[in-house]
Amino acid sequence: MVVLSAAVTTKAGKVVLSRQYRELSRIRIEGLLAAFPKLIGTDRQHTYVETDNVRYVYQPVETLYVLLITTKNSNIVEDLETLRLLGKILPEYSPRYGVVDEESVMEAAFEIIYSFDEVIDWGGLRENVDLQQIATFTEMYSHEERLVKMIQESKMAEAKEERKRREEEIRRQRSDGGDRLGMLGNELGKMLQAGGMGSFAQDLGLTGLQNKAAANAAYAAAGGISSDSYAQQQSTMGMGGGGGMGMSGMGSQMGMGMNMRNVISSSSGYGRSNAGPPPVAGTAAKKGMSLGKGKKQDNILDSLRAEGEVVDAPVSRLKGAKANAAAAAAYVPPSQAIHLATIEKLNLTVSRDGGIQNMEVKGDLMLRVTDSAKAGIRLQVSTGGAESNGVQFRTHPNVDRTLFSTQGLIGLKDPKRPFPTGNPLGVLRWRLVTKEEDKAPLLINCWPSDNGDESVVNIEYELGASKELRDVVITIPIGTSSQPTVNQCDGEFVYNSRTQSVEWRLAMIDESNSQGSLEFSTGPTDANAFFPINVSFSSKYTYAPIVVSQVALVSSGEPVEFGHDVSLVPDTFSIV
Amino acid sequence: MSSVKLGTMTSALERQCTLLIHQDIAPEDADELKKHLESGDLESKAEALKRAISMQLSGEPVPGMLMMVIRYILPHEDTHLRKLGLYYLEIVDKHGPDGKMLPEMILVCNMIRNELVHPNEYTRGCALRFVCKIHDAEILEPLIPSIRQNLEHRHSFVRRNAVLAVHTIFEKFEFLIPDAPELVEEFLAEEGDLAAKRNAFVMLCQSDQDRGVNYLNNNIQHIPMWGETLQLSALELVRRVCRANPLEKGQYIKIIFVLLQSPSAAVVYESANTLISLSSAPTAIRAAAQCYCQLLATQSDNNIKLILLDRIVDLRKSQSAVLQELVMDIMRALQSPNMDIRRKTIDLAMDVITRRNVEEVVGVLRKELVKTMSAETSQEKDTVSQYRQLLIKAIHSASVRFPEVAGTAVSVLSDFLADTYGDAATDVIIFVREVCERYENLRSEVLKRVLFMLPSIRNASVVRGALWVLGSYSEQPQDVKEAFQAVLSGVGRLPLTNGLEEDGEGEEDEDEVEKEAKPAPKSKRPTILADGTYASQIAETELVTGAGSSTNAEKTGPPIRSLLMAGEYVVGVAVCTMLTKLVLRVKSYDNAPPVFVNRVRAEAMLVCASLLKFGKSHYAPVAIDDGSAERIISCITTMNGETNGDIWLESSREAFHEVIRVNEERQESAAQEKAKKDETPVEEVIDFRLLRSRRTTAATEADVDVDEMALTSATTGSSTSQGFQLSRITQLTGMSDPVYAEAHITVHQYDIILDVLVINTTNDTLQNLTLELATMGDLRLCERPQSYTLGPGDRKTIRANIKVSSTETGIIFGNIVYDVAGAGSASGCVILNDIHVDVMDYIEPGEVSDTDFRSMWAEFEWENKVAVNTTCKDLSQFLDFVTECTNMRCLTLRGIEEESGYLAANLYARSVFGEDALVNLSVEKAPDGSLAGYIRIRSKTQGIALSLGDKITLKQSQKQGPK
Repeated sequence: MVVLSAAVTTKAGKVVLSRQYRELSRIRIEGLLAAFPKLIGTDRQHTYVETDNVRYVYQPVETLYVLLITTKNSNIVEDLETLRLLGKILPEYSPRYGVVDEESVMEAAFEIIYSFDEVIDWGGLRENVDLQQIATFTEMYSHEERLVKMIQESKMAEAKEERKRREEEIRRQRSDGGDRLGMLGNELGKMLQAGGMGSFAQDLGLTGLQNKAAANAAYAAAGGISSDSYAQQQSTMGMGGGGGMGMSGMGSQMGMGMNMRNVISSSSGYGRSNAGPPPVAGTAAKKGMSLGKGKKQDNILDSLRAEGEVVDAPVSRLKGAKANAAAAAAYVPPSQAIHLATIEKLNLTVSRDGGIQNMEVKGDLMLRVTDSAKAGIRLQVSTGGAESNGVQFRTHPNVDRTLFSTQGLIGLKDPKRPFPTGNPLGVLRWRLVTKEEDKAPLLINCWPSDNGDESVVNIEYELGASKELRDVVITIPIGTSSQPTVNQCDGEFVYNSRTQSVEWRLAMIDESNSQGSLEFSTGPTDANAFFPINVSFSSKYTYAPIVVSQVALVSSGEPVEFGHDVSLVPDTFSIV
Repeated sequence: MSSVKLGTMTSALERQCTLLIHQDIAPEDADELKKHLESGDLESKAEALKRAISMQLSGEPVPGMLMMVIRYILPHEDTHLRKLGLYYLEIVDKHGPDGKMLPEMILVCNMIRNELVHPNEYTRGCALRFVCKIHDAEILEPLIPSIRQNLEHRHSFVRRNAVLAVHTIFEKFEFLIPDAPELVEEFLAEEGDLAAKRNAFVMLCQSDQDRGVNYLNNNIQHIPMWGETLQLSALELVRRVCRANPLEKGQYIKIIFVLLQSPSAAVVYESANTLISLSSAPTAIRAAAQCYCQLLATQSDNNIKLILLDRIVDLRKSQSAVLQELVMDIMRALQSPNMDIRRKTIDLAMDVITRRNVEEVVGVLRKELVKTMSAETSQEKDTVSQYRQLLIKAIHSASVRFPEVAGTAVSVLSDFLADTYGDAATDVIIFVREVCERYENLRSEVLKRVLFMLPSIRNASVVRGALWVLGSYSEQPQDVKEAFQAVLSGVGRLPLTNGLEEDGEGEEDEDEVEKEAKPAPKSKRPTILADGTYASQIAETELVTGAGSSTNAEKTGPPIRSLLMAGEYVVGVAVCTMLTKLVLRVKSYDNAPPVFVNRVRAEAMLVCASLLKFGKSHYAPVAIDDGSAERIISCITTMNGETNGDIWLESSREAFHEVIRVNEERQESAAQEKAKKDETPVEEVIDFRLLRSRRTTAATEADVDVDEMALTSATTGSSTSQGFQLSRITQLTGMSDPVYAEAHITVHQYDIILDVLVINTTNDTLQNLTLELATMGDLRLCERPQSYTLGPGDRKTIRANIKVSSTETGIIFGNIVYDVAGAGSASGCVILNDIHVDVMDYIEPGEVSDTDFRSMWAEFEWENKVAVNTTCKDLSQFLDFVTECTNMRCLTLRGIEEESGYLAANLYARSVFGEDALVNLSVEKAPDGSLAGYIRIRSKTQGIALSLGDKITLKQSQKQGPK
């Protein structure tokens, strides 16, 4: 049941347009269409042709053919139905009423293709539509779009009003005198902040001293709101009018906007319920029907059984359920309201003779608050004297820097403001650049040697600056497709034929196995082929031993429960 | 990722193509287009964008267009314009020449995201549809959240397209929506819209079969209430599941039986297909076949009927027993006026005919035959007579295979001996002849019939056939006597003279005949039928009208006489031969009184003599030809006893016997060949699905199901690449040329693919190296050459595609031009050898009946006559040589060329484009042993005739060369 392509050609065989519903190369579709006129005979009374691979089903419409190219086992009854519908589309969209010829089809080519697209889905299956529906779909008139536009317009008008009013006010105040301006700016900022427009509020709060700037910002806020509102509308549409508009206090017209939204959401609810589960009446009707037919069917089934067909095999229904459970287990939501993560990324390039070419560690302390009631907090952090090792710390611009440097506390500059909730926020960042070899977490020494008919590679590792590394994978490219043989190996040895590389896996490296080696041999290969060696691992011991000792609410000083993850992973760790 | 690479590596022609629009507008100025796009007028914007799309499609993209579209179209507030913009994005190249994604795509991505969250549901739907056609994970990735969101949109139009988008993305880039099956499953559980449900179900079936099965099982009671499209998808799923896991078949067979009762023809058809693919138990097959028959009777569309018949024919191979029961149902398709359907039905019926149902089948055929008689007045005569011929042939073959029906068949068919229109009568007489030969017990019956019909037969060739039958098979004295008398009265009063005075006698003769053969009361007046027309098939009516007017005097008298009078000497010869045979037969009776024998002989000789005389007299419209005269004289001499009579009685029948035998052998060998094709070769791997599924995963190559195989073969074409063959390599340049090139030619059906290997043999870098090709003949290049840069000693394979539209020898020629990198901008050019495209690649030997051959021979316009010019001394060797070098099949019986010293053979072949090629060889062996004659080639198009002629001439001279 697959339509590969729908096309319109002239009787002479020229392709006027064609639309493909499966992935076909241009050369293939052109070939298929070129073959078509040769295949149709003149005196046939049927309108399909089959070749080795495809079936053409066509229908003459005035001087043209409407043509479907389908697979050979396609359902002919369906295809003819589709074809009939396509044939009706042509006169419908002709620029000269009802006239169908090459010229008119060409002129209306796009409209016709739009309609074809409504009849056949991408993938080649037929949609159950009629001409009326096609017309609706292609007209694209949307009630919702109009509503949204109206809301938008009303809000624009409203914002303009507001702007005018403010401008008026400011002008009046300017004439009153300068010192009250700062207060006004602050006030405006707070108001907007309360409405959730955090960033604007901040801007206003900081720059509120200049009256001109304040006016500009207010204008920008108004403009920003009107452009943002569209997206917000969208997000609230399905949920039925949640909060977050943040402008409810601004004018009476807004109320109307909200009302309208309610109308939409309620009507959407209606639409959904319409599309609910199938009516119950159906099952009852079915029972009545099956009484009569059951017997005959049973007869057939009995005879099938007699002929050795398996008719009553049980069907396992558990498979789907199991898969569901597995999927559910994969995602575990964070359980605590406040979650901290120390993430260090290592970029390390070591030359094969030893020296470090370049080593950089980048760390972040990420804070994620999921409960907005506990967002106003401060963190007690100790850096463990990492500064003396050359680690440079930087705080987020909104974090009070002096508080951090003097007391080791991380909190926002404005103590009344809470941390944003939902998304993780990087509050502290640090960086370490070094060339000292003993800072490397793992030292790797690789000695390839070529003895004529095979290459022997000796690799050894030594635990460096790190205390413990987990899931270490050392990947050595071998440059040939021949299977290497292992002579000696600590840990696990895996050959990956696709990437032509050897993976040396060590589940954990710590004090107990701070050294290890691997020796394997492979076909004769240039020594350079074994580089670059890449290493990946994960570790709980970071270069900057950040410890968060306490998280407390700013308002009451009460400690809050929190979680903390620490990880060090290499971004790149290669021996070149 | 692989698809990304694919997109960049392949040429424009091998890229996916979703849209083709032909437009003849001249390529427009790019600046003009841009100006229009920028303008505020909606109409001109849309128009300009359409132009841009068609230019892009015709391979002349406007540079910088993408940016223009991004700036001026996609953010526009008009929904239709934005939709058009999406179509542009669909066809535009999303990758730069370096294979990396264009930076503009990031902007595009954002635009699409906006569309996906647009308040207009149709805009969303179109955007989702567009998303299906994106092949880049990078573009898709940021769109995923919006797409998922759309699954919950309140408008079904959006939801249905969202599911589709999720499906295609999951198929292409599983990692983007790893939880798609769960998502869709949940979606399906709540969905109410049929189309969206269908799409979701299809998605589950193809991506996560278990979930699909689960859904199907949970809703098994509701299936009969489902919409048509959903039922069809369910059937597809059932097919897949059962193929993968035959043990679960039982569960689903019930569903299929329920769906077989569906009111929708499409569903019934599909259910029947599914049933057949699942089970080969006779009950299942019977149920399915019954459905086919029922559809055959109820569907009015010819296409459906034909395809249904095809499906039934497929069944025949494995399940002929079931079809034998249903043959009467199948025969109902004969009601259709369409000849193709009738032909197919009859072919099918003939195939499944058995001893048990043959009576019934022949009964139906007979009824149909009777119907054609009454239909003749109202319907087009051509089709009726075609149909009649078809029926006659069918009855013929049935009675050849089953002697018990031959008797009834003869009685039915012999009524048509007098049929004047078309070739039906000829077919009947051929049939009658064969029956006489095969079934001795029927002979007397047949002879009686023929004698009865003889006076009303008007067609010369039928008369000849009838006379031959009478002459050869009248063995009993009574038969001989009747035959003799019938012919004498047919010839009428002797001597054969033209004129009014003869009419009286003619009439008398006629009366005698009537009295003997047809005791029915005859009327002298034209009979008026119920519908007011004149009945005109009775001979004496014509006689009456003929007697009144002297203008058509030749037509008067019994048909044989009128034929003779019209100058049909071949009939005359047949009469004489037949009389001679009868005389010889009479002579051979032991107890025949010599007086009687002599009288018979005298009468026969009189007929012969008067024929001769008539032929030479001035009455005759044309004078008798020498051949006929010779034959008649030899008749007379034989009757005189001067030559041996055995040859007359025995040899001709033996020859005929031989013909029948050869025909039979040919049919048998054809049947054997066919059977061989159906047979599984010994070395074929036997596939135990159960065993295999344990050691490999379900999706091994061999497990790809039929549907998918059909799909892949349809989308990619047959993978009959002949592979790499050294013989197909043509060297294009010399070894010492700065650029060495050779081409590997692959001929697909309508495409020639040239893989040209180019090697830079110099020590310089060659820039702008371009392979320029041109063609002669019916070939068309479909790509513009690209230019390449080749370093010293570098090599590159350039692929060129050439389209062929008819069978013709073509020549591809060209050159390679390049610039030498370095200080002096020296450029060079290497002329390539010509590549000859051989007509033989397109020709396949075919089979066609003699009559078709003749009608085509008469119809075709182009003839190419090639004189035979060979050193070959042997006729049959020469024929072999010609068939071999033209790849044609010989239609003529072989074997006696050497004895006869001449050769006349027809050859036939068919091209892959469906063109017919006819060849006739007329060659004579000269006394000195050399061969002389002509080879005539005829075809509908000039190309074939010329190319084949050239080919033969070439081969002839080549053959001579080495000798």
